[in-house]
Amino acid sequence: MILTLENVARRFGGLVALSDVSFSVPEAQILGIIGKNGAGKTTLFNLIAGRFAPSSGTIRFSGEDIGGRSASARAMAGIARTFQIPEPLPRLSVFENVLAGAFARIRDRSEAGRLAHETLNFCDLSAKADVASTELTVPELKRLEVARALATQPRLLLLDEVMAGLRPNEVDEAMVLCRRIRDRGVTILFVEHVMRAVMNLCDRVVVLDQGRIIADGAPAAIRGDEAVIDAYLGREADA
Amino acid sequence: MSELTATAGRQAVRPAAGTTGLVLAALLLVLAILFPMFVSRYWLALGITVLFWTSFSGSWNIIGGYAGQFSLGHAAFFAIGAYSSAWLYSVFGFPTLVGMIVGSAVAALMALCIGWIIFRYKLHGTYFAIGTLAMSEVLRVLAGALPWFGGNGGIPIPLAQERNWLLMQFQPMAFYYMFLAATVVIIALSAWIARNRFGYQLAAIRDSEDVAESIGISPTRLKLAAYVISAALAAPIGTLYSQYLMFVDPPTFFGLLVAIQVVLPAVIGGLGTAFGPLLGAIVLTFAIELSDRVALRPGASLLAYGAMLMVFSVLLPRGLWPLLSKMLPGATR
Amino acid sequence: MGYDLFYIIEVLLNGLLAGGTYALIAVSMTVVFGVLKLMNFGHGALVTIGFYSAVVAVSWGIDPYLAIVPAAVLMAIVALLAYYALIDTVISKPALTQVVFTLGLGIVIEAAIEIIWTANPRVAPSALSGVLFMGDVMVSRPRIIGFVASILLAVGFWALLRWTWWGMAIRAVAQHDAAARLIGIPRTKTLAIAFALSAVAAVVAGLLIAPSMTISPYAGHVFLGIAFGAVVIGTKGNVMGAFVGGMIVGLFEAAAIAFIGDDFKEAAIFGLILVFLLVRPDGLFGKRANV
Repeated sequence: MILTLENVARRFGGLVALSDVSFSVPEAQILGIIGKNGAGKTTLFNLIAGRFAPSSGTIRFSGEDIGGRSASARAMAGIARTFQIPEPLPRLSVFENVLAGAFARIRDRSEAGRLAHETLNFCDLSAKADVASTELTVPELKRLEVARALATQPRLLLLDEVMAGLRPNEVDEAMVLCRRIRDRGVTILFVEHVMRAVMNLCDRVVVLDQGRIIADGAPAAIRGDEAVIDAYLGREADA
Repeated sequence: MSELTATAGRQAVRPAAGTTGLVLAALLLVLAILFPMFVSRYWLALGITVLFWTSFSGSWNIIGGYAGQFSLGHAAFFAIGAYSSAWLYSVFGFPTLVGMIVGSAVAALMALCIGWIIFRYKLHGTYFAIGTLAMSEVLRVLAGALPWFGGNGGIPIPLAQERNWLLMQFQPMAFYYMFLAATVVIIALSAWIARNRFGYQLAAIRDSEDVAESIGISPTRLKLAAYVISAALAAPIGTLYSQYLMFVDPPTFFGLLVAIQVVLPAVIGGLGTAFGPLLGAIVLTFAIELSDRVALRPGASLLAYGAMLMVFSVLLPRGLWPLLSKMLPGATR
Repeated sequence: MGYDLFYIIEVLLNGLLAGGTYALIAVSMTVVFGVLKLMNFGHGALVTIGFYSAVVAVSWGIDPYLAIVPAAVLMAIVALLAYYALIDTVISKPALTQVVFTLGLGIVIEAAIEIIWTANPRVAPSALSGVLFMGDVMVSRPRIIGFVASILLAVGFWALLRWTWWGMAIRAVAQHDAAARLIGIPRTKTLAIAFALSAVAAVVAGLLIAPSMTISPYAGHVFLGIAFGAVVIGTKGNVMGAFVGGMIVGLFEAAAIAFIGDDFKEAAIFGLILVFLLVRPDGLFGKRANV
């Protein structure tokens, strides 16, 4: 198990955002986390990414307790993340953005550059390598987020609503990319609203409602789950 | 209101390492080396002034430009360098060169302590600027009030009895070359930083600490590193300058005036670029000289200086370098 | 040196009076920093204009204190014009641009003053200059006037911001620019008025302080850093806070002089400011830019 959460809870003052969250993720799995707005997905995401520590419970990454570690320490441990609203480094080109990511583990510029180019290639951004990062289209920006995260050579990739705002064909392309990432051995954890992506891509889905896990299983099983249907009122988000 | 951070141009992290660029830089260096041999004392002094501000502002540029942390307390490290060498020499007879190295170490240590507190408490933007200024002012008052450092009159540097280059009491021409050496070192270091890991990680911090963290960067650690490097570079410049003037005192070496003057060349020339401080220093120095020559009344040159700042800030918000680099095809990439 | 009651009173008194001066300038600064969100590095020049208004008044045989109202009116007009002509250009620009621009503007103003009046130190005595004896304690009369004036100024500002339409507009823009625009508040005009108010306050501060000090074109700088500290302590944008901040700094300074001597007082003040920045950067009165 690459990632294990045991009885994780997170409180903000009086508000309980997450309680009794427990699940484990095997390596190279694609796991989707879904739930209504306010269910706690973002909190869970940020918790794993290291923006804050759990109020109680343990988070283990490759067996090690990382609950107390900072976001940058977690990135160095092998957990990479993207941002829901893409944040390219505005003063750098596309290539340089990914280069910055490559520098996480590589000190030498030429070597980092090679990895950056390779990663750009992998994410179909080579054509835009020298373009200003601020001049990309939405899907390209999302791919840049992913490329930059991949350049840190993670073992676990956290994707924050990466499909949001993409057209159907772009979603398809994104799914292809995700499968390629998984085929390289990287575990992927999605927070997502776009159901089509979740159902087709994920090996497993965890459903949150009011800070608790109400379902955990294969997509097909989740689809028919009473509790999930109740929580979602049978709604399928735009696909 | 935006944060008080670097608004450097897109070229900020581009390595200025095209062949054309290197050739031009080498040419410039040769010219600079030949310069003092053919000019009058007046021009030599002007040249020293330019190189002094270039290297001093260049040292600030590392924390202010590349790391994007607008420090208004940089004068403190400059003064620490000057005071260290002057005091160790005048009181204990330490050779100035040794004092310079000690000064650099002390400045670095001071930056480590100050920076650790300030970055830990997450001071940023305006608050960082004021905080560093406050720190510098505290040191200024202490330097002036504590009895050991000569009070407000400072420390006059005793004239050396014998010729000893370790005491660093040179002729102006030698000072020119020393400041030139400092300039070359700092520009080269800046260019190296911009092109390598440190520079890219600083750029990430400058733009978004969240993103920086997501790619494994610890903002506090790197900001601290940049701050310490900046300080360690400023101190020897202080020693050189105090040797040039043959004294050190709180009003000349500390203070808001110095703090602002060290920032301007980098800002005007191009924040976070290797050659920015040089461009800015040249423009500002010549503007002052020119207006002093032409000025009818005292204060007129200052008025021109102020007007120039206003014009530059609005017309060339990212400084001169982005403009220049566009005019030199292939020189930057 | 017994710390008897008398001594403590003297320290407190001096502190309050010094605080009055700081508060005057702080009140004028806080609106600019908090409402216009302008990094105004040229604010000192406005105070210097006040100083030299006093000089001009004296040279015309008018007592500086009598010149306050006409100077205020004149400054209001000039400041409004200056806002539209100059300040508005940089109001939406990045902070760094504002810093360099206002710094340049401040230098231009002070240099112009130097050209006209030379850098020779001057005085602008008022009929009310001189000292007052309260028991055995000697206090400077202008400083008492300054203290009282700073209270009046702070209260006046506060009342203006609270009870006039423009005051509400200023507070709205300060708290939520976008929302203010949505409800139809004319942004540029509001900012212009806020700037004018601030400039008037600065000039008035200069006029009030002038009789008690030696005036030269660059004399205002001394107060700037300290006044800015007062603004930070009192929360930027908060007028009563600026007043309180000024008082705190003044009292702290007096205590510092009493306990560690005149030479170190500035270090103590900047130390105080630094502590505030580290521990309570949003000032005593919290996160809201409430004015």
